Amino acid sequence: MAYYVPLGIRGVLFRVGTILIGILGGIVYFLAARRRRRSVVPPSMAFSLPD
Amino acid sequence: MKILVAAVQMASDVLDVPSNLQRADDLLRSSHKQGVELAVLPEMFNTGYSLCPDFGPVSETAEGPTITHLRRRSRQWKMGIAAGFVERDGRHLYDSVAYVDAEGNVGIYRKRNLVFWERYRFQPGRAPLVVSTPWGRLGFAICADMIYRKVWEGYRERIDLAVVSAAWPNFACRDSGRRHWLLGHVGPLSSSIPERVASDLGIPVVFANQCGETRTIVPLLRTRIEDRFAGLSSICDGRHGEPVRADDEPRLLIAPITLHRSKGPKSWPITSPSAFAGSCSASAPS
Repeated sequence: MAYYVPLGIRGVLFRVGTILIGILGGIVYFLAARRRRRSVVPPSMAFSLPD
Repeated sequence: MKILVAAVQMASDVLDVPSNLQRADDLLRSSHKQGVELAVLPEMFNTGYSLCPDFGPVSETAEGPTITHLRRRSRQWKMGIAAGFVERDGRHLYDSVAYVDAEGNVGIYRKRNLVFWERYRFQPGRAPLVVSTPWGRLGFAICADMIYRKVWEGYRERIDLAVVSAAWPNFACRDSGRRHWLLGHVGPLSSSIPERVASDLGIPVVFANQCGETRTIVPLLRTRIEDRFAGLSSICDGRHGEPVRADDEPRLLIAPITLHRSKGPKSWPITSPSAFAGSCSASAPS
């Protein structure tokens, strides 16, 4: 995917890294998401802000 | 048409939602008192931005406490608010921005271009988000989204104002000031890209970044940089005048912008599948 600003040779490294991280990260994410419960429990937070 | 907008540059404590919400609320209140009509908060302003074992416990739907609170403020203060948060949709987590309007409607944009550790924790979004407002059409991007040409080409002629919410680091060791060999030059882009987009697309850009200390982790490189968020939030008024820019300290940046609603096609509906929780601002502008 092309960059909006020229990044030079670093852009190539950045792109390759992003692809590799995308693959590895995708696997890690998939495994974590599979363990997560489908139902959403709203986080319990105690805060009261003045009107 | 001129409106007053705010880019809220704040530091967030990691996983301390009540404290971050309190800090943001004070800044939103100050914005409201100064007549701001649209305020933009940074990416993941409520949870903080850092690699955590699991964002699940602090993730929220649009009915969660953070967005519910912002909706209340938005209605109360007649102000549009864009704010980054960790969105939960079933088993999936997204790095998202919610836009709430004065009627309490919510539109949600999910970050499409995840970088570094983000892909380990989030699912990428699939679509842009364009929201029609009384001032014109707003388009949204989150942090690293803005370095990709495709993002801005997708919005060209389709929006009247770009909103960018970010947690963009400076990639320089905070003790020595030395920049990272690969990423060091990316830090200053947080300042130059919004200005370039404003000039190129001819629209105002409101860019709100986090500030304060952080730790940048790049998995494959086994890189860990003890750095700071770049700050440098900005409000660029399209091709009008000079951008207003913050430094790297907490700031409430407020400036007027000029909107030209006649630009581009007359309508381009919301395209994000995640766009609506309840009735959304996709409705025709009043």
